[in-house]
Amino acid sequence: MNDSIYAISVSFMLILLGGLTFHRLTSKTTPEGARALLRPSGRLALMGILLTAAYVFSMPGIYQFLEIFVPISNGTDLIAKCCAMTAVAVLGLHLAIAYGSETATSWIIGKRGALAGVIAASGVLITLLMADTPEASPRLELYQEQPAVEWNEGIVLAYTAYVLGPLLLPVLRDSRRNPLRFGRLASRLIFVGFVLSMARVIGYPLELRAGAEAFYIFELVTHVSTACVVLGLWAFAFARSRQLARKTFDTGLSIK
Amino acid sequence: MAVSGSDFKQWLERRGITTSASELGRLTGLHRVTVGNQIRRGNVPESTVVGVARSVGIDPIAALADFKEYQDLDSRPRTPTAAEVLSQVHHADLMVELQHRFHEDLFPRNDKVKIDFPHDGSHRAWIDAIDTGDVRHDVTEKTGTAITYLFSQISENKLTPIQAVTAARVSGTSMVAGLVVVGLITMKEGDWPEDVRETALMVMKNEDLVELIQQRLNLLQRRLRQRKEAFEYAEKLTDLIG
Repeated sequence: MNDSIYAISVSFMLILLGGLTFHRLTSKTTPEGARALLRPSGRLALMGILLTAAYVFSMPGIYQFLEIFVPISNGTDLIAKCCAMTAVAVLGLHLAIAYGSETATSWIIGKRGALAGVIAASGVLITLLMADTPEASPRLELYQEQPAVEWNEGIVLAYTAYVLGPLLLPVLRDSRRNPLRFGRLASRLIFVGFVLSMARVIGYPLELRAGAEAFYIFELVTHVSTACVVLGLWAFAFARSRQLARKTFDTGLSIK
Repeated sequence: MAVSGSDFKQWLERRGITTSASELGRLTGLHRVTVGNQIRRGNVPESTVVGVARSVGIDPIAALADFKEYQDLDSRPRTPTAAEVLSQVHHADLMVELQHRFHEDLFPRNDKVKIDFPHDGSHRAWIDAIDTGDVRHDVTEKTGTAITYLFSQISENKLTPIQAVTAARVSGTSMVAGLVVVGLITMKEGDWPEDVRETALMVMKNEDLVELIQQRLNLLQRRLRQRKEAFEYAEKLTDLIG
């Protein structure tokens, strides 16, 4: 019992510290320590690491192994979800800065963004504690029919929608206006990924009614959406490494 | 837009030309599958008609005039106006002429206009040369092309034969000249004298030459600025996201 109370209080402390750190790193007066987040490559690397960690932690073998060390039953799922939500926040931050969207920036980063992150992480922790999950189960698959688990999943989806929602318009605008064809394609991929994510959020009530058997079908939507976003980011990286903009919009006068 | 597959087949039969895809491929230099697909899909490009006509010794203009879209193609004099001809002279050649007029010893006149057409911006220059009012809107209305798409086609030198003929039709100029400008038929086939550009350049008044150069330089300046802005936007975004 004491162990559990200790683990819960530590989890809340971690969430609070994580939120404050996120706020500190993304505030306008960025301290020296946030240099990694100032660089696009640093943000992308961090997002990649967090996203990979979230997927790796959810793999059955690794999940079972980590459960030995985690004081809360299915605490690994909490860690994986926190990693995924932080990855989404970093992606949101990355794209909000790149597309120069003030609305997205004010929603995703700074005090408002940190508060949303802390609320979402706390919600995930509280719902996990409220749920009865004695056996280790990646993505809490065995307990999908418990209301607390439904809320747990819903909170993660809602936070994703909160971050991606304000970015939809800037991404759509760029997918139509980017003068580079490859850039338009990349933005379209990201847009499709975001739309799929939003569609899953909107369709969540349907997912609840569909029952536990349909869980992995809906999970597939998230996987496809992640793949689209990652491919879109890769396309931008490809355009940068190949200097496609410089090659396409040559301002030289030679007609040879 | 192109001519329909059934019209093309009927035309071939009327002219006594084979309808076999492999034979047509041999005549036009296209792959037989390509020609077959064009006929099957009912969308035969004008270039195929012209290619077939050339290979069997038919005047390409007469051949195109057999199709309803181009029935009136040869109903006006084929000769282009001076403005049309000059639209097909690159601004570098215009500036060579200007230099020559400043100092004929230091800058001897070129016997031939050096840069061939279509050159960068030649479709746009031609449209500007024949524009009597609202030719772009008239073309979009008559061909069913979206105005933004037509603008980008003009900027990228991608006017289609039917668009060029429609533009000439609404402007009251030679429709054959439109086909020469888009490169569907040669200058010779369009009855343009070989030295038509050199002659038009030589007889041009000084003030007209300077004005034309000024117009072209304004366009060039705008084009360079647009390219620079596009480059800066694209590079900034690829740097920030990638």
